[in-house]
Amino acid sequence: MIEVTNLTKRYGTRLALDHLTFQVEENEIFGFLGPNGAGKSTTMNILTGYLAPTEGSVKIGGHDIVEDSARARELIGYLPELPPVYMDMTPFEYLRFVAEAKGIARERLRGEIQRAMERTGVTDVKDRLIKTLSKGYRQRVGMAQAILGDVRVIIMDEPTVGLDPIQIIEFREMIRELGKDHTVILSSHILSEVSEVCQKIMIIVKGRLAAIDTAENLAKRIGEAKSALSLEEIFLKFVERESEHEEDDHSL
Amino acid sequence: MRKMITVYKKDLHIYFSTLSGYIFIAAVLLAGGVYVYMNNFYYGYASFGESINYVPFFFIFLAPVLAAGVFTDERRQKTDQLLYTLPLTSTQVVLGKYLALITVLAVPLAVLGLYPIVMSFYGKVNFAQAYTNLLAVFLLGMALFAICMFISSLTDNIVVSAVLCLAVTFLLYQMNGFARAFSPSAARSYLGLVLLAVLYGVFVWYLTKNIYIAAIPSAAIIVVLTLARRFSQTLLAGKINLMMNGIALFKPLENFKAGIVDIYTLIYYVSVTVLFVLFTMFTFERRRWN
Repeated sequence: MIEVTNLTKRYGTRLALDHLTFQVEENEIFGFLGPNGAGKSTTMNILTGYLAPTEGSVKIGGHDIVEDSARARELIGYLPELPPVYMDMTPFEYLRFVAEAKGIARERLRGEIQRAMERTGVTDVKDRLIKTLSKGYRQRVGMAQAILGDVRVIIMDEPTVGLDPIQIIEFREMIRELGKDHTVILSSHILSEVSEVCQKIMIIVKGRLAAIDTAENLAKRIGEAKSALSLEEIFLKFVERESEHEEDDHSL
Repeated sequence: MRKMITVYKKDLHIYFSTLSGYIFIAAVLLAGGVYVYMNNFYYGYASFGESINYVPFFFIFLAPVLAAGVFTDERRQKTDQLLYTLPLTSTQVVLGKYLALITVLAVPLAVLGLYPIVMSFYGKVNFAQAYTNLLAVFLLGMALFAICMFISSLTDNIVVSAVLCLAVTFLLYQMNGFARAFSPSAARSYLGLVLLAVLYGVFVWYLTKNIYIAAIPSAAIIVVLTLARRFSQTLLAGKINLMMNGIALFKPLENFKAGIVDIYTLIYYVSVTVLFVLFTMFTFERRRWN
């Protein structure tokens, strides 16, 4: 469903992403894991067409995100780190705007908005101004926006940050539910969350791919203490390894 | 087309659910109303066109009220991420937003357009003159809004955007006066034109981040200017005034005073508008590539 080849992004002279290559299968829940500043958000911003890559290519359902951008973007729903909502609109007005912008036919519009609102639980607040809603509800409205229309891929950048434990559990349930008929990519620094919902995990450190596998296989690949190793420990191992590589590079 | 209208409706909705749209409309109506009342009703002058020509002065402050936030607000609220990742083209986004601005501009001018009809109940009104002047005010507003929208697409900071918009609209308003007060020698004119060429280069570089596209035309202009100065001591004298007159955006309003639609002025305002709308599309798209 998603094919990323040699993705590189430079900000001026700073290398944010370094030849990242990976694939995400259809209806897979895929997790990006990495320390802050590793390039998770940058990767998501490129996958969704918000930023253009310096090198490399991204194909969404066979459509290149740069060459065939509009077609590729039609397949994607994106929930960035901060929900991109207009404070002076109500959820219903906001979702109508997004639905129209996604090109949903007029006769399907209402039904489609209704479905997205029910799936994310914002029906109760649909006529209140978004600026009066709590963080949790704003996040849901952002989520409703992402799943509107005929999207095949849903990309979420740290979707549970700032939510309370109950909301986090609800959100996880929602993600699992969506994963049944969508390809889902999410990033998180809450490691347990990634292992909880994701079928496959990619670890990025300093813009480089450190590992990509299922949670169990990642533990095996480390080759130590096997299943006794928590995901936190696996993660730290990969970060350490990657840092050693870096030092080797410098000594050369 | 439908998607452009979607963006248009969204922006209009925001102008009228926040205060900015109402403030703009009320202020233009107030300004127009005061001058019509003073000139036409109190002092009894017959010309509505003359009264309406005081309104553009208020655009110096009012155009930034509405247009300085067009893109800056989206970026501040992070909703620009939505605009960039929805299946919308930069043309649909920029045109939709621009048309929403122009609609808010058109509302108070349409109301002011009723005044000549009211005035005709009390005496003879030169309708041709009244409406050509109103058209000129609208055209000027279109150009100013396009310029302010472009400025707002350059920066993330609403204060920077508002101050820049205000500075630019004020400068454009005063440019005519500057040009008249300023009669430079050839040497000063040369320095001024070189400075403009350098500024142009910096501007293009900021837009394209490509040193060649920016530097080559600027360098070529400077070479031509230098040669011209070598060739003749007096050739460049006063030439900078031509440039200043060219960007004195408020001056061509006068060309409509007689009650005819001056075709050159019409083309001038429309060109400025189209140019800055295109610039905005360009900067909007370019941000992806930063």
